[in-house]
Amino acid sequence: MAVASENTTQKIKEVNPRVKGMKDFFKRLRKNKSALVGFYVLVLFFFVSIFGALDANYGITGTSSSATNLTDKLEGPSAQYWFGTDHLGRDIFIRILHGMYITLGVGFTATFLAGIIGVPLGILAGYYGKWLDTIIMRIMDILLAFPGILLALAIVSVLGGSTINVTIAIAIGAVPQFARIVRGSTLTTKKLEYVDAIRALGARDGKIIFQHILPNIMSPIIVNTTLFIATAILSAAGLSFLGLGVQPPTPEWGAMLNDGRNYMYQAAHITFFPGMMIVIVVLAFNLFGDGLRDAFDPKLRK
Amino acid sequence: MTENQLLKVANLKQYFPIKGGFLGRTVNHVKAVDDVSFTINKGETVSVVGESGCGKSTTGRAILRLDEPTEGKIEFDGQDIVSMNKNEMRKMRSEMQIIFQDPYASLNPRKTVRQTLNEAMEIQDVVPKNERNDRIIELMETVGLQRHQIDRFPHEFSGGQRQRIGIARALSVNPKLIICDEAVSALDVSIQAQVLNLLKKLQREYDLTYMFIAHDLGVVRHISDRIVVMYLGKVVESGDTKAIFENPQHPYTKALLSAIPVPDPKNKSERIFLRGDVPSPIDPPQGCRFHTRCPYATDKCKTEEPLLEEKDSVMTGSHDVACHYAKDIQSGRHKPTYEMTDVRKALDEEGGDNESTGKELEDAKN
Repeated sequence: MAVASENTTQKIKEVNPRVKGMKDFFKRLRKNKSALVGFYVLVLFFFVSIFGALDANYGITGTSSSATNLTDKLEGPSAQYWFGTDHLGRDIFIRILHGMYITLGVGFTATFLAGIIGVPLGILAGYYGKWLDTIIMRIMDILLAFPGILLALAIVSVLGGSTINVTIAIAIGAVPQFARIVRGSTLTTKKLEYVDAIRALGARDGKIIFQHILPNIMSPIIVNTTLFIATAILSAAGLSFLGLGVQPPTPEWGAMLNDGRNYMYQAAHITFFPGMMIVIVVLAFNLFGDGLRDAFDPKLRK
Repeated sequence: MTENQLLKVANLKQYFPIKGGFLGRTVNHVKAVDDVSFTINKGETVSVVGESGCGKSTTGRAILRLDEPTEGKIEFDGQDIVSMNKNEMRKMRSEMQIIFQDPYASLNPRKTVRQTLNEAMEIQDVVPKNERNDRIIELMETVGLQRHQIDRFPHEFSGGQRQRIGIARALSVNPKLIICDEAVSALDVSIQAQVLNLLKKLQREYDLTYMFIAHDLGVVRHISDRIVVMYLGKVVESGDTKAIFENPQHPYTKALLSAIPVPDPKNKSERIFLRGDVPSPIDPPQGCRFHTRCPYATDKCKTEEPLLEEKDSVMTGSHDVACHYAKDIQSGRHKPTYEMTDVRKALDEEGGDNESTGKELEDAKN
């Protein structure tokens, strides 16, 4: 009987601590109102963009982002055209809806690519140090020496303007940021005594890196990822605005800004609505990212 | 005697390069450990003492090859471990373990006790997989933890309990030698005693050998059989605990011992104050490294490095000291140039601290 009760308490305890840690984390996150707002906006946008993507490709509502209607061109917001029409009479609301997945997709993919390359580079540099560190970090320094948009411009002009190339260009520009942050965290974690303890036990480098260092540097990586998606979206929009990114008639938000540039004085809504959407998305990511950082590291909070 | 030896450290040197300049070239070295030799016998507890920065922890880390030693020989159970390759060393690691100072940094915060201990056994493959769970519980009970705490994370334990987990982890691979790197320094005095008693109990039960790195001499006296005193990367004195405490030979050891507080307010023992600070290990003094702070220092000390030799005439046996004048000081033939106990008084007079505070008090009254 006594053994049985002991076993049951053991089983309960087995799940408790980790769940408790996660609960604390979400409790801290929930307390942060602005982060919550950011989070809800992102969730909303996520589903809207899925709907937009389906609609754009399979025509659920029967609308088209490239259907021109020259009689209704440059019209302001109305019941028929919620966000008005552009210089070719295309419905801006539909274009924003259909372009959302491109904008978010470029941001996510570029950040993900940058993380895939930057995180291992940072860990290698930080963990092994010496000449490997010197080589990796000097290359990263060279990349960092270029202003991000200029680097992306150069890469796009070599590869040619397309959605995929823009993504690659932004990803390359972001690699050094990931590498730097990860290298710093790795250096700190590597010096901790539990890493020495596991080395004294004879663990192989792979085990030390994947089981002892990586899990303990995840929080800066996650925070940086969230915050970087916002930057990536901005860069993508910037490149498209310059005509080097996503090519018209694809309804990318940056390209739409460019479309409306010539009509700024007659029809400001053409630039206003895509611009507003970019601001909302970037703000949402930033608020959520800041909230994540605070929730991960309660010591930093005031 | 030699067959009883478990660890032999000979002429160990650990220099850390200082990088500088544009290309990151090595401009200088920190000579953290400089030509240190000592032996530890089976079943013994040898303490390495000295003030912070004297290289005692570095010595411990070099023995485990957590930092690769620059030079020297380390023999464990007759095998040279410095020349071992990675794989040989990996197998060797189950023989010697380490317990760290900081119980908060020495456990991975994301692993439960079960995971931590299981991992240790897995790496060294000391216990078959299906028996590991029982072994973990057994280990936890050995170090005084409850079996229901097995799935708790480190942050749910107190400092003393964490240190017990650290000890359990070290024990899990059945080592012969455990290096306790300031293992109790970070704990409360009451917990210190508990952990020390646990270590002693474990030593008896498992026939362990300890290398105890510490700066708390009270603790050291309680636990060790022999003591090695280090100063600025060198051994200045080594011998049986009794010999070191009752008949210290080196002026540095004397100063160190006089710093132990005596729990008797009436006993005003003579506290020895050393002049100045420890010199930089980047550019240590020539000759005897202690000569800059030693009241007995002569010109000979400034140029000629003393060897670690037996000079104790009272407690013969294994008591070595690295001082030119150990015998003369003992017999009273070599007098200090100033009284070591008066240094504080002299400093007070030179600095005039007391006067100024007196004046301030008077000013405050007016």
